[in-house]
Amino acid sequence: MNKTKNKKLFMVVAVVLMVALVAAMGTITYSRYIVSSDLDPQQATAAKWGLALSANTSNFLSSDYSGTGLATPQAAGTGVAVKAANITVAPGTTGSMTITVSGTAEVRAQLSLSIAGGYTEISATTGGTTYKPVKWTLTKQVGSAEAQTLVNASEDLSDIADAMTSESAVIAANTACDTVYTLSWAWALETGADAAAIAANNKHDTAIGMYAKEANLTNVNTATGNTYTDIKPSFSFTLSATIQQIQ
Amino acid sequence: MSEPAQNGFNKQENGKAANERRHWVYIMLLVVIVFILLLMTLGILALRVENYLPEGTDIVFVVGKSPSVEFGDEKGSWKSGLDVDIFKSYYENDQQVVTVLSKEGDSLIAPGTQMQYYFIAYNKGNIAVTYETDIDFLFESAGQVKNDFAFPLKVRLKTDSGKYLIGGESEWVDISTAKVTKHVSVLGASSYEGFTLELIWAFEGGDDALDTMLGNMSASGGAKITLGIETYAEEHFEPTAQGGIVVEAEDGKPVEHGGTIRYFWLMLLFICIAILVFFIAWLLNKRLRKW
Repeated sequence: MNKTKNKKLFMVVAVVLMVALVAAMGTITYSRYIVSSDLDPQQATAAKWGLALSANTSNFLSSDYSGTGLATPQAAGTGVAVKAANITVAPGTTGSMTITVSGTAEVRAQLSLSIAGGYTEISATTGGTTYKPVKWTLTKQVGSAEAQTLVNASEDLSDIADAMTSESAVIAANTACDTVYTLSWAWALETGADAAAIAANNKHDTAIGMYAKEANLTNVNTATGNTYTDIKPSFSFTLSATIQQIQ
Repeated sequence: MSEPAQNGFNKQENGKAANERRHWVYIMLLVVIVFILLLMTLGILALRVENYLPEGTDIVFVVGKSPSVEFGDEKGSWKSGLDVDIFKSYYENDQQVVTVLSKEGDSLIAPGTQMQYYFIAYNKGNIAVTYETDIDFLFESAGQVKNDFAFPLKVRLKTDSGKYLIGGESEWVDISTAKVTKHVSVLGASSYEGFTLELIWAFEGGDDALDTMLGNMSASGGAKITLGIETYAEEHFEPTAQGGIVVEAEDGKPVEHGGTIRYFWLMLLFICIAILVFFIAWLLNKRLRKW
C-alpha cells in the first residue's frame, strides 16, 4: 500500500469536507413561506345632508317705506338670519316673508327658530295704555297641505317669538322636509270697535307718523291733544333659523 | 545468523512495525475527523435542504417545517365576498335613538359615527412568522378617486394584549397617515393575536364646513370611501421567536418548532458513530499486531 498516497487522499477528503462545512454554515437562509391575506374592500358612503333653509323677504317691505335697514337674509343653507332694523311703515300697508325648510338628511337634525335678543314694536303709550297698530300673523304649511295658523293677527311680537321657539324641533333621520313658515304684518288703515275707537286710533296713528318725522313728544302732544309718554315709530327684530346635525 | 545480527534485524523489524502502527493511528485519527466533519456538514445541509422539501418533512434529527397562517374574524377566514359589517346602514346614540339612517339601505358613515372591527391572526404552524398589517383607504367623489383629499376619518389599531399598532389610548391617527405606514409584528408558532380596528368620524372634529360639504357632496354627486386591511406573513428567520398568545396543545406538550434540531437523536447518532469508529480502530489495531 502507498502510505503517502493514502495520507494525501485522506487529507484531501478532509479539506473538501471542511470547505463544504464552511460553505454550508455560510449559506444564507431565506424565508420560503410567504402568505398574504386581504379583507375584502369595505365601502360606505357619507351620509347625505340635503337639508336646506332659505328665506324670501322680497314681499316683506316696499321700497316706498323708509328705514335704516331692510330685512335681508344674512346667510343661506343651514342657517338664515333675517334682520329688520328701524323699519318705519304706514297705516294701510302690509308685508310678508317666508322661511322654508326643505330636503332630506340621512342624519338626525335639529331645527331652531327664534327671534333672538331684543325687538321693538311700533307703539304709542298714553294714559297708561299702549297702542300697537301692527298686527303679526304666523302660518305654517307642510307640503301641499292647508296652511296652519300658528299666530293670528297678534299685536305682540312676543307671540311670534314664542311660536317660533315652539316650532324648534328634532327632524328624524331620513325624514323629508317641505315646510314653509310665513310671517306677515299688517297695519290697518282704520281699527276700532266703533267710531269713537276708530277716531282715537286714528289720532294715535297720526301721533306715530308725526313722531316718525320729528321725534318731539311735546309737539306731538300739542298737535293731537293727547299726552303721549312714549312713541316708537318703527319696529326691529332679528329672526334666526338654523338646522344642524345632532346626535 | 549471529545473535547480534539477529538482534539488529529484530530491532529493525520492530522499528518498521512501530512506524506502521503510527501510520495507522494517523489514518484512524483522520477517519474520525472526517466522520465528524461529514456529520456536521450533513446536519447543516439538512437544515438548508429542508427548505426545498415538502412541508412537515423531517430530515433525520431536523424537525420539518409546517407553516400555516390564517387571518379572519368570527365569521371565518377572510375570503372574497365575506360580509363583515364594519359600516352599517344605521347608527344609534346611547339612548338607542337612531341618529343616522340610510335612505337606500346602504352602508353609511357620518359625523359622530364610530366603527369597530375585530379580527384574528392565527399561526397554526410550527414556525414563527413576521407579519405586516396595513390599512388601505380610498375616497371617491362623483366616481372620481381623490388621492389628496383629507377625509375626516381617524383610526386606531390595537392587539388583545393592549399594544397599539396604530394610534394610542388617547390618540387617533388620520386615515391618510395610517394607510402609508407599515405595521410589522411577530407571531410565534402555535399562537394567535387578536386585533381591534377602530374608526371614528368625530362629531365635533373642528371642521363643520368640511363635514357639511361632504354631506352635501353625497346628496348631489356621491361621496364614497373604501377601506381595506391587507396582511402579509413570512417565515421568521428564528423559528422559535415568540409573539402573540400561545395556544396550548391538547396533549399539553410544548410545540416542537420546525427547523430545530432534535438534540437527543443527534446525541444518539454521535454515540453510534463513535462506537463505529472505535470498532474500526480496534479492528485496525488487531491487524497491526498481526504485522
